[in-house]
Amino acid sequence: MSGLATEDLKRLVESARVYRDVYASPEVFELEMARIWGHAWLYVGHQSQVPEPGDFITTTLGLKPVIMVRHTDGETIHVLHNRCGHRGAIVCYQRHGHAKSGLFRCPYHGWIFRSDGSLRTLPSPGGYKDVGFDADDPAFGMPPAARVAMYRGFVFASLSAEGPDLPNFLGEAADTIDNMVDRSPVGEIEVTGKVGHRFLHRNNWKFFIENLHDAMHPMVAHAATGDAVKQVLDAYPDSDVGRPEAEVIAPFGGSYDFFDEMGFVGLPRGHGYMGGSKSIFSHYQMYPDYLAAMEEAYGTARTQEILSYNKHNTLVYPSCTVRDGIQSIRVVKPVSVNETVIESWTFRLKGAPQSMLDRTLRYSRLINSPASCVGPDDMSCYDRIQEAAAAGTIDWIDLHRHLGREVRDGERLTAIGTSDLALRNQYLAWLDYMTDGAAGHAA
Amino acid sequence: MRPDVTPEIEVAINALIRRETACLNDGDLDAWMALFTDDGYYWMPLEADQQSPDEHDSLIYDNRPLMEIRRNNLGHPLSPSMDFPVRSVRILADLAIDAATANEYVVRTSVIAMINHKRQDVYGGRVTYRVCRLGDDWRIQCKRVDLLNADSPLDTIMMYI
Repeated sequence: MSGLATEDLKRLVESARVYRDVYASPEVFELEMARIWGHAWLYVGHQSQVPEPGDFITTTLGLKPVIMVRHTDGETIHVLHNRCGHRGAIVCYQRHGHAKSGLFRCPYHGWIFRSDGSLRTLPSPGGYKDVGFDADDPAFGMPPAARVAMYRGFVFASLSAEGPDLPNFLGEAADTIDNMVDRSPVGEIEVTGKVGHRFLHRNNWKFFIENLHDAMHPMVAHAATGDAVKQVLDAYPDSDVGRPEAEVIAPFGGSYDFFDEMGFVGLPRGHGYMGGSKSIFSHYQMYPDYLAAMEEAYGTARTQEILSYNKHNTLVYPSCTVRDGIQSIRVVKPVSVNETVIESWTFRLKGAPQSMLDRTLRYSRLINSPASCVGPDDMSCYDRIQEAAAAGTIDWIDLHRHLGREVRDGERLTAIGTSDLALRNQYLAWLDYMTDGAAGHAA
Repeated sequence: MRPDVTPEIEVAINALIRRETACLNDGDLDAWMALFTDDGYYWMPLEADQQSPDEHDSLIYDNRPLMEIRRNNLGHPLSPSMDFPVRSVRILADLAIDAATANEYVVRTSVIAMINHKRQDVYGGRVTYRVCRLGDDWRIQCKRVDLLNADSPLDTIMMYI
């Protein structure tokens, strides 16, 4: 186990800078997996991915392989450690599928488990009789994650039995999930497809979630893509050519003032969001058939309330970022200190016209796909810091911008959009988890 | 009744596909785009056997405006990722032509592509073209590329395959 003491960890994070080891030290990464990813509620999947009893997906909680499965009772969704209670083999490598009769069978020696993780069948069981083996010991099953809970169809799990319950953990971040679901005229959403994008990042997991709320980078790092779109618009001045694409990409070239006005709200436990009444989605065109469907379902006033709620990238620290306005979620999958997979999943608003899904898919291709236009530029910037941190060409990574100008409002910290508060708020939680405060800092 | 694929048609379609491969190998996206019909598109699905780009995510689904955006973006001096040049080569094999209608043909090939950008990535996949004759000219209506590892963690894909 790590030789890092609490005092060592506290020295890595100061109020306005962090030491390079937070990105580059394998020892720190190992501790993060145990203390942050081993305690926080982590996003697992959406209920629509396992509609029938026995349906499952495989994924990870931190570095631990798990199976999310719809139990044979048809109601409960279990999150089980994906390992056989016998020799520990991973029971299932399939990314999604259906377990017939809700049973999982280890392919090595044929131990069979129920969809609640309990051991059902031992091969040639006489060998285990009167030898002190207890088949009812959960350790011989596929043990469930310590805690599993669902919020409006979004399944979360925690590897720790201790800590706040899911609603308290999410706090105000839950509003973004509410809003995504409420944007369906029938109040239901579903994941499209069986697999989402899996974008390999050859850098530390924190760069991605820091970049989401780094409002100083789009106008610089994405200037090329903004210009590439503008050239197309200029080439077709009197037509709709390029307009749908510009709707997605152009806001990334927004001014410092635009992002400052959007604002940032830091929540307890590292969560946070940009926007509220204004975001990069707020100028999106309204499709009349969608508006009509919403007003019929909710009435004019409530529809306005739902659609004017506009947040950009609500971070549910550390594992996912939710975009209500465009109906997608990106999920952080750390692999090693300098390798991360960012999964992204697209949701269909049930009862909404195809134009809404078209826009969501367009957004996903342009922004989330490994073949996106903006992705390589973000990636290049993360790589530069990762490599500098590993090489020791910089020791301290700066977080001074608008330091101390944030305003406390109960549990929330608010600031203008280009404040480094967005990053500092994550490190408040980081330090709290890492030093066993379990992110209670702002509670 | 489906028409035959005559030797002349086979020669013409082979020339079109060779030219398309050469344009990508040369990084000449202007010449490459000109090989597509005005409403032509390039599709790289996310899932094997994906039926439609309209129901689920795709790695790439580019119409002409998006091809133009990608062309403008690639090599842009303000792009951080362009500190490294993008070089690529692709090899096509097992080309087979089927007639779809009197004027449209389906072409299937296997592809191995290497893209060099900071690192060197190797992609393998199957390609399905739909091509048509426009007067004396031949154009691509759609090109679908199914990567073997479309659903695996993928590094940035810097160039059409």
